[in-house]
Amino acid sequence: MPTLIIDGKEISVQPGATIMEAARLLGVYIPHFCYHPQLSIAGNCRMCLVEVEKMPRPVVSCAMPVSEGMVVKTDSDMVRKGRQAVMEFLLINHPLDCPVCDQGGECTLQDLAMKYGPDRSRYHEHKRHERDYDLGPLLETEMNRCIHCTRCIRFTDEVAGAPEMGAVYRGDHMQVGPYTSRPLTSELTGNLAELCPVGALNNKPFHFQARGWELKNSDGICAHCAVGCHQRVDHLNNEVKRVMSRRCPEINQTWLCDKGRFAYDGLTRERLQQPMVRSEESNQLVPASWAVALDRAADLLKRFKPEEVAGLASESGQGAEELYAFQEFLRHVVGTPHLDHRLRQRDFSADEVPLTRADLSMNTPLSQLGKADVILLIGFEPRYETPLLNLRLRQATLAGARAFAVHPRQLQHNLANLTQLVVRPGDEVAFLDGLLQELGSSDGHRSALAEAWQKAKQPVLLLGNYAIHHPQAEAIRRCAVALLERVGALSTQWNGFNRVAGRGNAAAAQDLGVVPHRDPGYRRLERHGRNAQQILQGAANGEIRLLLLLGCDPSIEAVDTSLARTALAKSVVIYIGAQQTPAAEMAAVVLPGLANGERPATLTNLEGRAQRSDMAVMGPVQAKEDWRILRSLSDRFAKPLPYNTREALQARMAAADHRYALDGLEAGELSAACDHKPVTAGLPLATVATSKDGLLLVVEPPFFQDDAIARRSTILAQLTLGRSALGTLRINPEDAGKANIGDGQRVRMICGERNVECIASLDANVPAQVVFGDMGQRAALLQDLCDWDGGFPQVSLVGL
Amino acid sequence: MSELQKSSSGVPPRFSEEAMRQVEVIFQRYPADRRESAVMPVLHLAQREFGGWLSQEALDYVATIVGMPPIRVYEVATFYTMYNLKPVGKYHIQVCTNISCWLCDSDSIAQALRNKLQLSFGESSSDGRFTLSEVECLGACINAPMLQINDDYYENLTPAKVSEIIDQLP
Ligand code: SF4
Ligand code: SF4
Ligand code: FES
Ligand code: FES
Repeated sequence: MPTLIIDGKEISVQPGATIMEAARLLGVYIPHFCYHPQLSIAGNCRMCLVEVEKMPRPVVSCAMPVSEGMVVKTDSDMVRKGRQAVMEFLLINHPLDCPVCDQGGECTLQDLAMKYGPDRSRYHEHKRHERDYDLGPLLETEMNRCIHCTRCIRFTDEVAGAPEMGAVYRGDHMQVGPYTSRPLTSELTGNLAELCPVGALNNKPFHFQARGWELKNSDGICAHCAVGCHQRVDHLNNEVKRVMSRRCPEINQTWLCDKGRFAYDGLTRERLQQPMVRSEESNQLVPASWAVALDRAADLLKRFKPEEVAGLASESGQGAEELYAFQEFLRHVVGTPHLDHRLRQRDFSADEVPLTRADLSMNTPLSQLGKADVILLIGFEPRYETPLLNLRLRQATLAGARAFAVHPRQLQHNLANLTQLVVRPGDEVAFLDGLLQELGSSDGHRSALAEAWQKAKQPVLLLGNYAIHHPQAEAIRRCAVALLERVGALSTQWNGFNRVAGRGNAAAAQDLGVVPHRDPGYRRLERHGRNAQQILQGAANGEIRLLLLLGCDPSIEAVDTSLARTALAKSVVIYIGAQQTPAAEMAAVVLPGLANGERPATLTNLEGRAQRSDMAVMGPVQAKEDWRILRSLSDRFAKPLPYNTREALQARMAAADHRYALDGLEAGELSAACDHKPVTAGLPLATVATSKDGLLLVVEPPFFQDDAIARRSTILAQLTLGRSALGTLRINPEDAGKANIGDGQRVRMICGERNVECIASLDANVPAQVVFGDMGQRAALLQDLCDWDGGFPQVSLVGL
Repeated sequence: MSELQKSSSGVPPRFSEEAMRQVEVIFQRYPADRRESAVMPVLHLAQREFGGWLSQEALDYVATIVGMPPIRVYEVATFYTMYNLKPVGKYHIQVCTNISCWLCDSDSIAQALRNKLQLSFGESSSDGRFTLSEVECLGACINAPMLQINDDYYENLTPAKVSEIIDQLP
């Protein structure tokens, strides 16, 4: 380890580290523009000059490796002069329009020009004029301000894997940009605004909205998917103005995806403003005081036997506090065992097996994923389910890992080395079983996947949304465990089993027992309540009389939305939640709650890391934290919930599951996700026979619209990301040709008695004999065709 | 200079079979996993094949052939002045005005051409016959001043000689 001295302080660093890195470790700031800790070294801005004893000229510290005994000065006369000269050159072509620049006040160039810039220019010639590009709805450009640091080029190329920015022409004619009028396609473009050290690439929705110094900041955790990225929420006058990333090496490094960054504008749309009760005279929802609404809700709850009451919660949008209070309220205040959050799940057979956290979440920490040598994705499209997890997989593939995907269609991906195995819906278990047998047999020809898997030292297997919500999810999960067991990848040194439940806070809902068969902390119950499917079926046939909904709308989210609508129509509904939804419109009592960002909350990410997110802005005046609503409601019962403060509630959560004892954990420390290895419990389960022919329908949640806030964001609504328009039915061009259906044509999709009208779009990534649609589109609710037990619906199409 | 020009024909550029064979020969000069290295000769070939210049479609086509993202091909094509990103006439006349030629009075050569062709640098004649460009040193300083018409060099020029050369072009 070479030892060097920087400004009189001694430090030893890894061989090969640069002077810049050593200085950063010491906390010595060296001015820079092109250097970025997460990007490759460019060494082109020359701002990071330092003086090294015995070297005749100033040295570029970001590119110069340290050597033993170096003596570095970062603030000598030579250094200052050098930086002044560099700054003078940088400013030659800069428009110096700070007063009208979004970056003003938080601009590296402005700050460093204050320190090193000349007070007047010696340059009297024409400044260059650069072309601006339309980079899509997220980025505003003012390329005259570009200082050619190439961070944006390196980011799109190295990190985002969407090489669309470049430097064209050369010398003083060089221009940075995409050089075409195509908008950027990456799901990470927002990072460019944050990464650009000047005001060349700006956050478009934030354009002219506020000045950096007026903003107040809060530390948030993103809840728009289960990665749980660290964010800084910037707000002014109780309005979120923009979202920036906060560094967290274990999770998001320094990035955010566009969903997490831009969903905020959906926060204030379609909000429930005050408590409402259904009036007996007019049968309309009318505003009421909290006291009246809570009394009415309590009356209704008491009107039925406890077993006739059931609760459904949506994991995303709720804090762990809400989820905990919800299950405790139902189980111990009302006394019903019927509650669930798994409205999208079809296979509940795993409830009979004692699964724990290791079976239900990730076991390989995000920060270790990059070390995997073989990656197997089963029913998982990481780029559009958990973008920041996908970056880790991409890093692994860039470092040489091989990746395989088993999926019903071609994935949209940016992995370097991916083999796609398209498997017809329903054939997955047979496929994985075949793979297991291939691994078992010693003879003959093996598939590339079997070959790679057998040799893998650190394999990871990831089950995604499609696998988790598959009609044979448990059989798939068991195959996955068996595959890992075969290659010894379930040990404490390397556990490659990862079930990636991608919705925000899904892990908290499991941990804290918002399921019918477990109490918080994975304690199994003797008597199981009804699961989500059985609750809705019960409500539809009159066995369940009252539904308590926490931020969830089964008529949009459930596997079978026609069943859900019947259930809502036939039962008494009490709706607690932040947004107006069709379910709230059908409710007898509506109790307005708060959304993420409007209250402090605990959010658990897919590794099982519980994190606290601060409050940024205040919600509607009358709305209350959802757990407090439940607390007040419980006052009207014999046994109220035993906590009056958030701290008391958090202490109770911590007692039920020690991973929620956050005060005992160091900041950022990850409590071990895995106490024991995942259970196999016999292989395989009986498989449902699927039809070999006929058109099968697969309904997928559209990532950018997959939670209550994101769905309402007008910024996200503009993003298409290489896919056909939202809500269309994607069909293989040949199948469409046979059925005489053209691109953009209206079609009627029929399955037995049920049918839905929608718009077809031709998509070559879709295999023959399968069609794909988006979940939860109010214009064309494709889940209307899905029978909960019926596997993948077999449909026919008629052009209209 | 601020935007790539699209081809006006509407026909997507495709290499002929013969050109494709040449591409294969070019690829053989580089390791199999380094096909990107062939981008410059393939661009050059494309320029010959597609009428002396490279439209955006032609660049995108080359990108698919060598397996590079289009922007990386744009970077290469804009870096070198010898790739023409605008249509050029049948005769592309490139006058060197760099130091050696300039010392030997390339100014008068350039002026003679401008008068003769009634074109400024960077312009093409309306009949599609000539394009006049100013270029940097073409490596023939020993016989300065000089110019290049398509693939041929013309050296030791005088204004009178220039006029003669133009007149003799078929
Ligand atoms: S646009 Fe910004 S990030 Fe990109 S090269 Fe210019 S200054 Fe750097
Ligand atoms: S990856 Fe997930 S957690 Fe991170 S910013 Fe995007 S939506 Fe939020
Ligand atoms: S930071 Fe070192 S050259 Fe730019
Ligand atoms: S300067 Fe004209 S050929 Fe070299």
